[in-house]
Amino acid sequence: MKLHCDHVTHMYEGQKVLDDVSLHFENVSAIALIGPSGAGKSTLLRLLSKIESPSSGQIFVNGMDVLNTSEKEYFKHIGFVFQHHGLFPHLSACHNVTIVLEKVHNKSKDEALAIAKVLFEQFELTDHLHKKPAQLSGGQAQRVSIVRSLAASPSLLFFDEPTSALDPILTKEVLHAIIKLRKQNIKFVIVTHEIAFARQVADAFVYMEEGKVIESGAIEQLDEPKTEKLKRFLDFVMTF
Amino acid sequence: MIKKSRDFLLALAIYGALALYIALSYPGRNNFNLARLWPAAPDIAQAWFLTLWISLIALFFSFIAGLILYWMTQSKIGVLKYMGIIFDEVVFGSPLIVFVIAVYYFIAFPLGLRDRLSVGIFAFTLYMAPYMKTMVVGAMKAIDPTQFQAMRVLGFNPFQQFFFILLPQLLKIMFPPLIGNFSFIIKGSSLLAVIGVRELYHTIDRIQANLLLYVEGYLLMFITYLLMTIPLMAISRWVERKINA
Repeated sequence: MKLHCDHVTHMYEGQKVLDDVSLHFENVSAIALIGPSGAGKSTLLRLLSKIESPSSGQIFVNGMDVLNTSEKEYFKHIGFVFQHHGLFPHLSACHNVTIVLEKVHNKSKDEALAIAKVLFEQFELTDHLHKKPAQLSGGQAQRVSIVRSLAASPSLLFFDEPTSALDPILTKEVLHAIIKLRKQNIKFVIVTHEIAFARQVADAFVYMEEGKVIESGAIEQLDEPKTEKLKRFLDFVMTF
Repeated sequence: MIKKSRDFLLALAIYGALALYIALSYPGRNNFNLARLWPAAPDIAQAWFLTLWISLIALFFSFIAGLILYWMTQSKIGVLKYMGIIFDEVVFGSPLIVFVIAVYYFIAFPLGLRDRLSVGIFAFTLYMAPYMKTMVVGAMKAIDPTQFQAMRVLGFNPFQQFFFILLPQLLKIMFPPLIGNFSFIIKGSSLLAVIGVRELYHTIDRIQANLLLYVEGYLLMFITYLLMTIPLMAISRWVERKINA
């Protein structure tokens, strides 16, 4: 994936939540956005995915000028997995996936079902095909949400702390699903608090604090941080 | 279950005793004869069904009007938004009877609309719209905000978002207040009598005057409206249990 941000600043309710963020990544597969809570990671992810627009600056993702591409066009190329699964509660797990393929991507009912079934099998969800979201565990629901965002074969996925609402066992379940994606060479940007997981799954990272990018680069750099702030953060999170 | 039934019957018996006391102590009880209303039964039955019919139509149209009002008040177009808000304020500030008369004399009359039934339904639809809108606002709040973002990112257009994702959920959430509004419409429909719509209240009122059976007529009004609203509540509770099962 290619990702460029030029002097991106974002204000929210009069507060500067992103302050002059510039990033340049080429030929990376998975980027982990890390940092303490309130650092602006999720905001940056929402700007990259066009869910929100920055107050100023430019963003290019895989050669597309994000701000000047229509929502409809841009959303064809990306998928987004939210902190809370965001599944439609009145539809079964399977229908949550097929409705997107049928209504948005004009697939026939049979085609949509075939695609969904393959993905459900890959993510070990076949037993839960016909369950409503309320009948699924948090981890299962989040995996269905991953399947739903994958169904239309986007070229890039965004994950916004997909395990933050889950207990440690369910977290593992979801992290394994994401590792699977990596093995399938699916490109993604992920906001995560799981540093060990980030090391395993990402090949690049961005470390943020108070709306600013403190350090970014190849994932191996986490072993030898260049800035004192990242070093302190890593020391702190690894202590427990 | 047995205890429940026993308590229910006991409660009913207390009300029955109260009704009996009122009947026995009523000054004109010797002249009271409900059977004398019998010749008017066909008219009353027709009016009963008309009231139900008016209420169903008003329910349908006011629901749609409520959705339109919702979109207006949520609109980014300032004029539409304020038009919606002003309408809301005017209706919430008016008694139904005054509103119906105002619509009849100040809107329908100058426009040359003479069909009292249609005007009545129209007035009722307008009056109920803000109540329906309030119900939609409440139901929308009950929907997890992540869903709205998910719909957008997944590529649903606004029409698809509403009809495939939101409406089925809204109907389920709104069912109990919708039935509450329906009951309100049935009861309020009696006020259409003021513009001469021949619904249940108006019909019995006329029969009372013709046959000079005032007390019997009032009792019958009481019973016939309850015959509409109580089964409705029972059905709605049953449907609610079904959809939540």
